[in-house]
Amino acid sequence: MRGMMWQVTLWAAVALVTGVRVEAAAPVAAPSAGKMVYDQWCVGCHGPMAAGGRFPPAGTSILQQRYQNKLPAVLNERTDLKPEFIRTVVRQGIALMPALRKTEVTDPQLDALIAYLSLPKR
Amino acid sequence: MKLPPGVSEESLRRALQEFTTVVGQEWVFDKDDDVARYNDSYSPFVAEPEKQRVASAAVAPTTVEQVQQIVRIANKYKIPLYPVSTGRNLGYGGSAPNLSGSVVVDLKRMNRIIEVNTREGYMIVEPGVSFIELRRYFEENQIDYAPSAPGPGWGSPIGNALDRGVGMPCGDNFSAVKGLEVVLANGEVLRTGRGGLRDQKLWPLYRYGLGPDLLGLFSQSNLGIVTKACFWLEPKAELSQGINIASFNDEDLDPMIDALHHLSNQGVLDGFEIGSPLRSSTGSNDVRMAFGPAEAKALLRRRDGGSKAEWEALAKKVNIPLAGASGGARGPAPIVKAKLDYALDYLQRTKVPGVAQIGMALPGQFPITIDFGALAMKASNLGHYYFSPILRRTRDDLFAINDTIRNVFIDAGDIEMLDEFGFYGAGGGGPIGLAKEKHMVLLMEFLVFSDADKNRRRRELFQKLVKACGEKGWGEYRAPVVFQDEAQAEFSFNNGVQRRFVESLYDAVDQNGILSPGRMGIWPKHLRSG
Repeated sequence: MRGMMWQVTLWAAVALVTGVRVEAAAPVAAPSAGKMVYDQWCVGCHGPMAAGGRFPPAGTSILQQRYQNKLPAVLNERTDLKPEFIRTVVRQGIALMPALRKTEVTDPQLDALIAYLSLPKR
Repeated sequence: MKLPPGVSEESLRRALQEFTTVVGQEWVFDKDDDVARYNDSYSPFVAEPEKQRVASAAVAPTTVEQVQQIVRIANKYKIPLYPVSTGRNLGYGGSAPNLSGSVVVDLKRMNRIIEVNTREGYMIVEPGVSFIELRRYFEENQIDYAPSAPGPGWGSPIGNALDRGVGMPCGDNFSAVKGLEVVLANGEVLRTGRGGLRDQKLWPLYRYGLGPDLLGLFSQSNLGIVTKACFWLEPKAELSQGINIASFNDEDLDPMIDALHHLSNQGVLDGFEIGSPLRSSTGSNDVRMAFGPAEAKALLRRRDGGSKAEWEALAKKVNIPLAGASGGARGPAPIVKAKLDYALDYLQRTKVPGVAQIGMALPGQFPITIDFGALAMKASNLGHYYFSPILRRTRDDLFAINDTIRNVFIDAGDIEMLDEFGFYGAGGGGPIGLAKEKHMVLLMEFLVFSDADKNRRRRELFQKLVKACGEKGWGEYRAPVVFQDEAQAEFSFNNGVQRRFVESLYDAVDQNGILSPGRMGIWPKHLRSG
């Protein structure tokens, strides 16, 4: 039996699902595209502590220490993040977080991420 | 804009203009804001920006043909290039070049998974694919293999393997590479091994061509730009589990090691790790992670490291073993269980001292995140770089390298570093000794601070460690960009014949010295010192 083989262009797939085209054509969809960016680039450091983990991930740990429960330490629970602040931190990095380049998160993907993080939270 | 040595701004501008005709204006970065994204985020010079290694610009191709064109243009204008896959080997330099003014060739957009063959167990990928993307692709397509990845998974399997990085659970990632496609300094494309044949059906399956094996020439190398790699895949294991032995007597480590060597050599265990749990319990610059007693820290602050009687008395008092080792096996559950039962029986039958027990079952697939985890809690969270020499997996070597390192810290009067280090003891790359290695990698983090003077002292300490360890045969397995010259200098056998041999290859294939000048201490003729 022949082995299974796939031929894919990952870039195309990523671009399609993370919303390179979303900004202009369908702004309503941008937050969901932004969630894809968040899941790929942010949640590893800024998500909640994994079940059975000893420490929360790095970003959550740092924000926990900084805010002492006055603000949520998990990033997508925040309601106070300003678009320009997100843009600056993503592009310039801060503390342990390195800058993300345009080849990693494109400008339209960054817009989608900002839309996602700006959604009203329950 | 930082110009490369000997290159005029006009030449660089012309080259950049020609790059835009290849990749489009959007993917040539020459504005300060964009270029700064290629600095080393964890630079040891973080508080002295004027000393950082910086790029002049960056260009981001999507195809091999574009890489070839970029190389030809760079030759025309003698522009040094610094290719990075994803530029995420943080702790070893990130995407910052050895030679300031180089143009970074950012291969992140070359991110095709070209083929995954589940029958024969291999894949062919491009450099821009990250571990996270690969894992997601495998999950979405229910592929029953798991990439062996380093902790932060935003890096590239190709970049990590070429840097000879270590993944979990299998250790040395370059050992899984069986074929490479490389753009040479003259713009030609070379495929290694069976990729040299007209019909390349065996390229991913058999690494050799006819004659010298070319594969290794392109790892930790500046002899070409790798644009594709064939990896053999590790299957997802149904079960990963270890066997642990511990004793309150230091000398018991020797028979433990003998037994675990036997079991590994027989194929019963995949690998094993050794250490000294009581001593290692002290080291950390995060108080929440250091659980060791203050008395242990006090003993390790002494030049003699504490006497046998003192350690044995303390071990009994605090009930933490002095000698510890663990081996592991992964694979189908019944086979792993049978292997561990055999190992346990062997240890008992051959009367290996200490208490042996089977450890917790671990998942067959290890997590891939972009998390440096506990590093966030350390004394500084501005970043870190790694000191990482290789040692033998023997008690003598383990204690000798620990003594050497501690004495460098004591000589320098750096008690803070001495306490953070404590005592190293662990394994060859994977958790619970799953990596099929015969060595150990000592991994020590050097944190970076906002205090320039403290960073300078730490850099000097790093250089002293490289020298003190190098003299005793513990060379670096990989080195941060800014320390690669010093690390290479320790490979000094026969007047540095290894370095001189690679330099002669470099001179022959890259007459203009455009590819990654200075990588791992290999510089083009016109930039060599001495």
